[in-house]
This record gives sequence, C-alpha cells and structure tokens, in this order.
Amino acid sequence: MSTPVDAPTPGATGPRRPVRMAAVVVGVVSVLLMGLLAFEVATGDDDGVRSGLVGRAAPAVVGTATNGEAVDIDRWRGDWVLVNFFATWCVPCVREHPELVEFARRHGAEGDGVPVEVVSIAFDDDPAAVEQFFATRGGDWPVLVEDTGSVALDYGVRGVPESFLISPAGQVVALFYGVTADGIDEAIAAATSGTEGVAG
Amino acid sequence: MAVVVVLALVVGSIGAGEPPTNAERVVALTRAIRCPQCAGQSVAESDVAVSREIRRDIAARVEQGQTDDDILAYYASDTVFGPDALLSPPAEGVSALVWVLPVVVAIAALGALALAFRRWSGSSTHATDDDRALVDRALAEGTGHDDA
Repeated sequence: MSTPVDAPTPGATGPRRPVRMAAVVVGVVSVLLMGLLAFEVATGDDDGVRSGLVGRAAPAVVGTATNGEAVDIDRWRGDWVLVNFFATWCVPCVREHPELVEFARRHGAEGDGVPVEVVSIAFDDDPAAVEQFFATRGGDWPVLVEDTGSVALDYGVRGVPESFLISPAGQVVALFYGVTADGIDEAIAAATSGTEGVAG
Repeated sequence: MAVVVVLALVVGSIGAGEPPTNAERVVALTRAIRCPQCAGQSVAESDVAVSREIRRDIAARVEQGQTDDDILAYYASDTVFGPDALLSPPAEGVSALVWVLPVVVAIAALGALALAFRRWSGSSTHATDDDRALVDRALAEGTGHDDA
C-alpha cells in the first residue's frame, strides 16, 4: 500500500516545534527586555526635581551687576549665597520676588546676622526691563543681566524661576523652583544641622 | 537590482569623506539635544528661551573649537541636564537595549523566515514505487480508452 499523497511526510511536524519554541522564546525575551527598559525610564532620577547639582561645588558666577558692582560668588565664600535665576516676563518670578525681598531683609544689616548674599541673574531678558522691575518691586542685591546665558546653562537651568542655595563652603545644598523666605531658611537650617540637601 | 544597490552605495558614500562645516555641526548638534522644557522636541525645533540659549551656546562652543563629543558631554553631564538631554540614548548600560533590541528582533525574524522557507521547500511529497506503478496503470488504461 502506498502512502497517500496528501499525508504529511515523516518528521514534517518535527522542525515546526523548535521554530515555534524559538519564536516564543525570542518574543518573551524581547518583551522582558522592553519591560526592563520601560521600568528604568519610569523610575529614573527626574520626577520633576532635578538634583544633579545638589551636593556639588557651585559653578562660577562672575559678571557686572546693573549697579556696576563686580560680582564673583567665590568672593562670598563663608556666607550663604542664593543664586536666583529669573526673568521679568515670568509670572512665578514676579510672585516669588517679595519672598526674596523678605529673605534679604531678614538677614541684612538689621536682620539676624546670618551672613547671606543674594544675586539675581536675569535669563533672556532686557536690561531696561530688569532695572524697572527692581525699581518697582524692591531688592537691593546685585543683578546680572548681560551675558548670563552661559551661567544659566552651567547651572542646568531649564526655565525660570530656579534658585540655588550655596553653602559657605561653596556647595549647592538646595534647588528651588520658586522660593519662599521660610523655605530658604528651612533649607539653611537643614543643611546646618547636617540633614541632606533638599530640593523644593 | 545589484547595479542599483551598488550605485546607491556609491552615491551615498560620495561626500562622506568631507568634514561637516561648523554650521552643519551646529545644526546636527541642536537636533541631537532635547529641549529641557519641551516634550520630545529638539532645541533645533523649540523656540523657548532655554532652547534659544542652547543654540547660541552650541554655536559659540563650535567656534571655540570644541568637539561634538565634548559639547554633547557637557549637556549630558549630571550638573547640566543629565543623560536625558540627548535625544539618542547612549549605547551603554540599560539604554543600550534601545540599540540592541531592534537588531536582535530583526535577526531572529530573518532566522525564523529562513527556517520557515526551508520547512516549506522540504515538505514536498516524494512518490514511492507503488505510486509510480499506480500512475502508470492509470495512464495505460487512459490511452486504451475509446474516443469515438
């Protein structure tokens, strides 16, 4: 008796199984690897608060303020320094400005004696608008306006306002997206007591 | 088809040896860096203030003679915008999977196709001697048929 023509040849099911298994294995491994990649992205170190600079030496801030004063934050080593990036066209910057004024007042000549320096750095702004801003809203600390882009990039500024609190040793201890006077004082207290640098 | 492929390779390779101009480098670099404020846009495409500043900064660094790697490394450093600043993920660590996975899947798919083709071509039925005898008898009976 001959083998019917349409019957499967011996061993025809043999190669099919390894191919199917290989396809399944490749598919499962690919899905697992993609899941791992997605997990890494999802649990990345950037949930809205970048802290790459916190704990590191503060980048240089050197320039000439609107009042003609030469600014170099390295000369303020030994004091707490708040480096404030802002713009006159930025609504949150307008909102935080009174807090900066209050913070400077608290620690100024008639304040509590805590050595503090503030420097504001205008980002992508007009010098005349910046001068008008401070004339209207107060604040007598140095303000840099010219050629501030490079400084902003060195600090990794993505947008304004961003403020960096620098310790007397020259280390960035906190990053703020919009400051309050109390928030800055709390960060100083935390850093002084040895608590790890915070981002607010 | 082979001629077309060869021609395409030749045309594609023409100019590959010429170094890019500074302007071309700036364009390429701005396309490689993510806008820090935007969702998925490069600094070349975005017009927010920080992107404009980055474009200006890149142009200045290129004029100063910095290499592309140096410039990309600056923006990807932890103190600036971090590794996520680059639109193309680095080929190291877990991010390397982005580069490896498509190649692995493509190779696996080609291998599966090759196996499948081999199986299809190998599954043809071979006639036995009995089958041939059966066909010969049928043909012989057919030629003896009366057509009238």
